[in-house]
Amino acid sequence: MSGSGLDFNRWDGPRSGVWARRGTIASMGLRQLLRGKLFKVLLGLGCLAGLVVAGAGFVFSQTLAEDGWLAELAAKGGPRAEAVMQGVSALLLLYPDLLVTGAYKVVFWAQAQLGLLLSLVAMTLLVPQLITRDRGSQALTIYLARPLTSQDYLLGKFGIIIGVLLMLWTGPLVIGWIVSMALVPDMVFFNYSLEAMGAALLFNLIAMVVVGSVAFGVSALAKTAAAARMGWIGLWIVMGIVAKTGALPSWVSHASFSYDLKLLSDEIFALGDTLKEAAEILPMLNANLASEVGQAANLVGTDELGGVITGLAILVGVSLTFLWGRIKPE
Amino acid sequence: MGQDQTGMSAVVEATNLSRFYGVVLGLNNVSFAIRPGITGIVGPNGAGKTTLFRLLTGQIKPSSGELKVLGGSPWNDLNVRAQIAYCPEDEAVPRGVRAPDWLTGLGMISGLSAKQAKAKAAASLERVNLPAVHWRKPVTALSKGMKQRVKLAQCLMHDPRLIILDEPMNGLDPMGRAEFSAVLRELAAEGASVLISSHILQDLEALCREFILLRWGRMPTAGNVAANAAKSELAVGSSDKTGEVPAKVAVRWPKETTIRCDDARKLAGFLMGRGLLRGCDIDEDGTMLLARWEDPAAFYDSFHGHLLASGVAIYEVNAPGSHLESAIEPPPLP
Repeated sequence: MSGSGLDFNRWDGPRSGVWARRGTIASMGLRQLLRGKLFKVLLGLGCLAGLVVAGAGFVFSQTLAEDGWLAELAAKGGPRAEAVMQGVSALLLLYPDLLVTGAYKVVFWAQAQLGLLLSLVAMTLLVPQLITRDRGSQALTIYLARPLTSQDYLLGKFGIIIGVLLMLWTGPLVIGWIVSMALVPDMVFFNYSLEAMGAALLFNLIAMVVVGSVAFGVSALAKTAAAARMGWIGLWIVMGIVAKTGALPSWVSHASFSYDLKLLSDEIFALGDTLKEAAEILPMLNANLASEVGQAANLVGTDELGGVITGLAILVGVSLTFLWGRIKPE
Repeated sequence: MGQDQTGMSAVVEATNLSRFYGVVLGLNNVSFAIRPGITGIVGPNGAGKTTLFRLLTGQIKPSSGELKVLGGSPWNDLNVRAQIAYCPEDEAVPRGVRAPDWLTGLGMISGLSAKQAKAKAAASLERVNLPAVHWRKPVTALSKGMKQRVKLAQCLMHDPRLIILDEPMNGLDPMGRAEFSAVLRELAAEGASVLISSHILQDLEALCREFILLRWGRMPTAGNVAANAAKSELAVGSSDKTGEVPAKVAVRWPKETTIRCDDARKLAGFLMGRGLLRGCDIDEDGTMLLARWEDPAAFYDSFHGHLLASGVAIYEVNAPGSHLESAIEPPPLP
């Protein structure tokens, strides 16, 4: 049944709806997290990454634009410099998808790696707070005795995860991009950075679901805060290291969600394809450079997408099964 | 809501209610009705008290039978749960959160606006007499007694109609228990119904109008309760069609009280002079008085006043052999 429109027989004050009550759980958790020094440091690093995104976008657009600051500088540097600059501007007109989309993909990919790392560190702090402590101290019984279903409770807790990722990763990304777009001299940068932004948001969304589910599963399984943290670190760092050694069969490697997410980011941002295309299409200064770019493309590319998706899907499924079993025993 | 023989609406109605955890029995085919006021739930560990509370708060589903709380099912009716407050026996307080913040959050979860919840949190903490110096500390840093006050305060946030308290007196000193009891009486007077379990049976006897006895997941049969009640002057309610009844304590105060003091003879003379004693025994040291009351209520209703007026230094007041204690004693082996 719907939780809104509750019949408070003895309470005649204002009443809020079910989404407000779910939001309360999320905001309580986030406020608790924000009191910690380490989380404030993570937040500072996240904001710094956003500034770098904005700065990189600004410098890049000003460098390539026909009337940007580099063009002005080249004009002062004589006809040779001016000719080189005109060539670069012509490339922008001819290959905006490669230059703009490719450059923004690189920037967003780098921000995604940092954002994911910060989020995983933050989850180490957050995992016990999700469910473990509420179960251990029986505070869960107080929440669930109120007009709140298990789903409401879990949605509220998932709100904390969304909030963390928004603060450390998505927020800096989007704000950094918007700031850089506000300063671009040409709309071509906006139009051709959209694809890169779409890729970044897609990866962000997938990571949110995966990280959130695994964190929930660990938090639901662990009986103490220390066990929850150990479980999380084990799944994240230990399994990640094991997966990267390459000594084990690939299906074992895909049991590491951090390894899978790394491969998935390479696939979604498709930096390998962009580099290959650049090596083939763009007029390189010499053959060696073209060859090196091609080799770099091969390193970045991955052919394990099926294994990655299967591995992540199984991890999410198992985590949610554990979670549901613990929170809703009926 | 149904009405009982006295015409009062029942707050809780259970009919053949059972709850099993696999093969483990939690509650087994119990039927009872709880009327407005303060009702005690009594029974030894493992009697099924916590299972009953979890059923009443909608956290678990009955295996069979019917349970109605405030006219609805707590399992799937959020409107019912919006009118319930629950204070579990366990610590149940989150780490690193101050009492006003926690209460504000819980109030908002119950549907109050942020402003109202904040005001109500302050009012609730004042009502349970949590000293202001503790408001700025994390709840987990408070003493057990202070935590119990905070846990009671969270029950008051949304003006619930039914307050369920599982061992709320644990960790409270006698003064704290008296304050706690006063708050519960006020709540009952304001129209809330209180359901309380406690191992401190004397407090329960002084506080509750009615009791539900549980033992091994069942309510003792009329025969069992009557056997014990006969020893302890308990009045027993009439049997329903299932033959299982909630026991009702008609005698509110103990008939006998032991008082340790510096001059038992002087105290006995004083109480005799006020017409309170039916008889008494004094130990050889002259420091322990066993008082048998003419009218227990006459003494207990203003026992502070009587004892102060006696001018005797009092060290301990105790009621041997609580009626409730006798009533929940397991039946003798055949």
